[in-house]
Amino acid sequence: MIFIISSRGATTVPRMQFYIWWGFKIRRLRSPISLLAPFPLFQEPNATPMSKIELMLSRPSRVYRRGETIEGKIVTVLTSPISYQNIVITATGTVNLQIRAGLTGMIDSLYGVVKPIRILKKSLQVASAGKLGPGKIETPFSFTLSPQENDTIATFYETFHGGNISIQYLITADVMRGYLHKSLSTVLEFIVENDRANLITLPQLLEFVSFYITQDTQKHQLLPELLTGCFRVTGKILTQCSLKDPITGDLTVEASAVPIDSVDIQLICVESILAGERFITDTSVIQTTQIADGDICRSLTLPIYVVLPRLLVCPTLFAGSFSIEFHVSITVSFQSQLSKLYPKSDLRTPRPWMAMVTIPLKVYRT
Amino acid sequence: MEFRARDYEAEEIACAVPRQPAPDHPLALLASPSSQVLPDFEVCFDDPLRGSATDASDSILDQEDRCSTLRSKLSGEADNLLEKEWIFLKSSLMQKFSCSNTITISPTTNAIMRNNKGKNAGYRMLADIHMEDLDDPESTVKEEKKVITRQEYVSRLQELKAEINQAWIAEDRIRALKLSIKVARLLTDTSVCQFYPTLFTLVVDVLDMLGNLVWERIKKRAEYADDRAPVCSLPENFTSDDICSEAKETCYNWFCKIGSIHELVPRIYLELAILRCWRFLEDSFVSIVERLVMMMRGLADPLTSAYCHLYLAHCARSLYLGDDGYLIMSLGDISILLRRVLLDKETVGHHSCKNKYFLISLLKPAIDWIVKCIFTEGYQNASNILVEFGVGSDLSVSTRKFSCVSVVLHYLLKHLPADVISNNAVEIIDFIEQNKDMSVDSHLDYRLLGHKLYESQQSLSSVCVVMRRIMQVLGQYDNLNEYLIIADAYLDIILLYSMENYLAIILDGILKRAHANQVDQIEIENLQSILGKIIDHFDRLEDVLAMPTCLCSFLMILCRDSHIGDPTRIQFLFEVSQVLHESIDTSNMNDESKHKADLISRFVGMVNFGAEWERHLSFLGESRAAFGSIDELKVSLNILCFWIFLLKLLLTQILYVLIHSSNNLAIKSIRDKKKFLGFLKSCLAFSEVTIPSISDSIQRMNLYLETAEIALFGGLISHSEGLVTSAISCLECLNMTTGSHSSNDVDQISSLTCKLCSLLLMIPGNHEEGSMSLIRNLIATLQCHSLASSKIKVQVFCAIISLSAGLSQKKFLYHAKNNEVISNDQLYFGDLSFDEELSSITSLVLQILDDVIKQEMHLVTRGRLALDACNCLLVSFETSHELSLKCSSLIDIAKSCLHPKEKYLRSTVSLMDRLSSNLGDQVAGSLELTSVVQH
Repeated sequence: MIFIISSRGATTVPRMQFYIWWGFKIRRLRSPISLLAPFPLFQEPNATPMSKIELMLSRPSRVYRRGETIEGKIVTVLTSPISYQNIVITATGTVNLQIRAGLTGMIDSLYGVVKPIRILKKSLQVASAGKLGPGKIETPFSFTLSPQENDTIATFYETFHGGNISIQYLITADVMRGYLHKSLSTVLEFIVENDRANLITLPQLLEFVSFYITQDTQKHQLLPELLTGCFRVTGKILTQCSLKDPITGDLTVEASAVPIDSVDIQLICVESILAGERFITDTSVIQTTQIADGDICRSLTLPIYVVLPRLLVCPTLFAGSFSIEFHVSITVSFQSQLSKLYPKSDLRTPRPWMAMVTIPLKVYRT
Repeated sequence: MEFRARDYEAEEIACAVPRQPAPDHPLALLASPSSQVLPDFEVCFDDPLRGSATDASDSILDQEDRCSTLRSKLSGEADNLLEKEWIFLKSSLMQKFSCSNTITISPTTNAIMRNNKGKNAGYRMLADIHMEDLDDPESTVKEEKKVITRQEYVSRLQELKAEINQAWIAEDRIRALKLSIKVARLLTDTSVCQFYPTLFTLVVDVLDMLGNLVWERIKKRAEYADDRAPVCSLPENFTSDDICSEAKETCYNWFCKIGSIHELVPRIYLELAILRCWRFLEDSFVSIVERLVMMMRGLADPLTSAYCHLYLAHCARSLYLGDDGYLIMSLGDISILLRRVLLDKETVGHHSCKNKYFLISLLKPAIDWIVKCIFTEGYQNASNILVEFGVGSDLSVSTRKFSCVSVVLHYLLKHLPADVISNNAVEIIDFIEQNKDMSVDSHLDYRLLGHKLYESQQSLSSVCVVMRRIMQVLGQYDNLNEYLIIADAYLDIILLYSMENYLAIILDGILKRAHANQVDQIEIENLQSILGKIIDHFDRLEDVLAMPTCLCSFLMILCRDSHIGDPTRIQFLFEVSQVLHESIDTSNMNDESKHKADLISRFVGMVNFGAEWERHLSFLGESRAAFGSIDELKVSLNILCFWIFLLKLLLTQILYVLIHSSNNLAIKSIRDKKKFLGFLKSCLAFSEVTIPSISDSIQRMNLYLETAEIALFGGLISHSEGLVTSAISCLECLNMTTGSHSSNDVDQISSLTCKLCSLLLMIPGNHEEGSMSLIRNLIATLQCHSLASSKIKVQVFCAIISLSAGLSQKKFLYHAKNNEVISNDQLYFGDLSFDEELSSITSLVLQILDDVIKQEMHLVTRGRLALDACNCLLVSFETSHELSLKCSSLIDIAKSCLHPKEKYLRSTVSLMDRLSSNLGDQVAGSLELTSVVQH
């Protein structure tokens, strides 16, 4: 929950220290707008030596909902006293839409960045002109997470970091020191979840969808031995899944003439962005989970248990200009000499030694 | 006539085959020094020189210690015991399955290869790391397999462990986790399956360490605020409600992170490593553990699966579930996999058909441990588990949850309480019968069952039912060893409830099977245990031996071995022999009695106490007392006696060397020597007393001679002389009945007499009775027996001539190996009276030889005897006119009797010709002689 930017000098800056939040999986962002881009990464060398500024929030998880009060404090650790004009806290929320190069045609790519959508912009003055003494000083602040009166956007989308769409909320603390001095500032991301009032009502019965994979369900070319010797993989999987819960289900290999190499479950994110007149859709794999390794016993039921990665998955979202959906793909790979020729092939590409089924997954917040 | 002077040493050198020094052993392996074999034992240590690693691990060790003390407080004694056993299991896994020295590394396990790329991993962006975890792109690139030694592998893992530690201390937990995943990924590779148990223990060590680190960290977060001020102290049996949300968040993050690992094996192993941490989040763990068991069904390789279940059984104990359903599920799943392995003709995973047995032996420790866990955790309703596995249910109704494999059943029986087993014994027997497969031999199951039944001491009626069933089963076993193993296990019950009829059946069955095939060492041990039980049980041996034929056969089986050294076995056999001996009817020596006597003497002959000579002698004494009426026994007694003496003599030789080499040792050696002499005398006395009671005079003579030899080697000259005299007198008695001797006996007598002559060379002459008194005695004995066959006579007299020739030499061919016995060459060489004595004996013998040959009626025999004598003379005497006359006359006799083309005749003639032509060349002549003698 603490995000420290040392001001000791430019040389140390790239070594960012992530504390407990390393647990968040942040995908390689392909867009130039990186997660860290808005952060003032490079501090001037003339900044006061050994001055440190941190933001701390009251909740270790940094998770807040609409209408809740965000409490926190600005912690400064200084070697010498400094005077300031004012201390300002700014909360911002934006949806960044970026179409990955190569997805669209030449003309479309000219559009490049679709204009970001601003969800939240709120600033408040924590303290007016004064002086910060040496040592550790904590300056508390608090504000309510609600749209400003004149703001038109009423929905707070949940925090999400995808390949093309990123929804991000940041708190910035600035200690303004006038014109002669560079102000001290720090940025901290906080996470917004849907407020409870807006929750989808929990389906009373968990909805399992049965699936079956046989040589007849596959649209792509299969190995001849797979076509002659039959295979049949059946199971069921949850199609509505809470963010807190794993995707569950089961899978049974009923028959297979060719030995099985592996069974994998892929979580796929489908991001759509309205660019100009049409939607541009991009699918990307968020997580692959192997559930069977080797030629498993026939007619033995395996559990499907996939933990949803945090931040990379948000509730299924349909906004006007963009949408975020999820799919689950179940891929059965068979043992084949041919597969060794393509060691780098991913599970998305249909190959003759693979059979797969893709099922849409509705993610919701409970 | 002059005796031919011989230089034995020169002759030996002249006749010896030319030799070349051989610096290398011809059979030694042509091993190049580069392929030195590494020691095969497991070395597992932290290198003290690897400073940074040990520094880093210090604090971790402290943590681990704290952890273990906490655990010991938390858990009961049984758990503590299990913990110790776990450590023991790990070390035994390492030792039991030590494998060849090199391990092929498949590309998926490249964590073991050093790559410097990993060094910077901690400082890269989170996003990169995440992708790496998901894909591990390096793994698929390399295709070539690398081979490293086991030592390298082990030390690399140690390094990795230290690296993880360091990363953790440096607060770089991503790197620690990343490395741990790599380590856990190693367990996917089962290509070198004999290395797998070792690999498992090494990897589990690393994972346990990681698990402890995470546990401690989350606990710290729960107990301390951010500024390290203690907030609360968690009670040992805390619930998830006691944990602050901050710590829960961290904990949940860990599970999320681990949940995102792509591959199944590392994901399961890492979740198991931090399984304990579920306590921070939840209060009920049964569903979690069961889910993990279910997830393991995705592991197709039986080896990976079984060891994964083993680790689960270990880790789940820290949750105190109080429910063993998951362990039973584990067993069920392992059974399914095993069944597949057993049934499949083809290969499953990397394991080919051939090493199925090996694979099963690798799985056994895992199964054993899981079953053990079921019962140490206090399974409340132990009989339920039998129902779970389908014991007692009807096969035709397919309601059984699992298809049980006998190896699982075996360990189940091993750990089930005895009373549960005995209550369901008949059902279990049926179940064993239904589930026979190659994974475990069913006789081992029956043995376990037998032991448990005996332990539980059931009522007679219920045991009867079981035993009836067991006897049916037993009848199906044709292999002696299996039969013996089962019989041994149930004998206790049979004896306890005195079911004599079963005993008879079993003994009968053993005999039948023992006659059919060869009995080996293991079978003998089992047999002995059976007989021991029988003998211990009955107060009076006579009761047992109401069936002496049975025992007789047992003895025979036991005596097939080469020698017996075990005192208890000797004691046992002795008792048996005694009983047998009593059953022999001395007045009526029929075949059966003879057979028994034969067995007893064989037994006595095979006893060997090793270095404890006195005990052996006393044993022999006992035997004499016990089996006095058997003749044959005494033969073996004496043979043994001599055998001891010979060994003892070798011992004294060493002592003598010691006396000469070191005066300091002399006193001790002399004391030892005295002791030895006393012992030797007692042995001799034993023999002297025993021998006369042997009726067969050929045997008696043989024994006398052997004893005389021993006495001579022991330095007891007078004993030796006395014994030789006795031997000669034996010869006297022998010749009385000469007519009845078979040709075999004739050969034996003549060879014995020749042996006597050769012995006489060593016995020093006696000044009082004349130096040649024994020889004269011998001649007189032979002479007065006109009935003795001419063949014996010629051979013996030739031997006497050779002896005389030998005695005339300056240096004898051989001497008694005892410094106290002065050789005749030292005593008499150059003594004129001695020479005279010799020549008078020679002329006497020559005269007798002439007479004997002429008296022989049979032509061919006469010719051959003449040639024998001629050869002897040619060898013994210096070439002279007198000799050639003598020889010519002998050859003339031979020519008149034999066919002129007879080979023997021609070679003798040519020898004579050559010797007479080579008068001057002594050595060449000797050479010729030697070659003749060798022919």
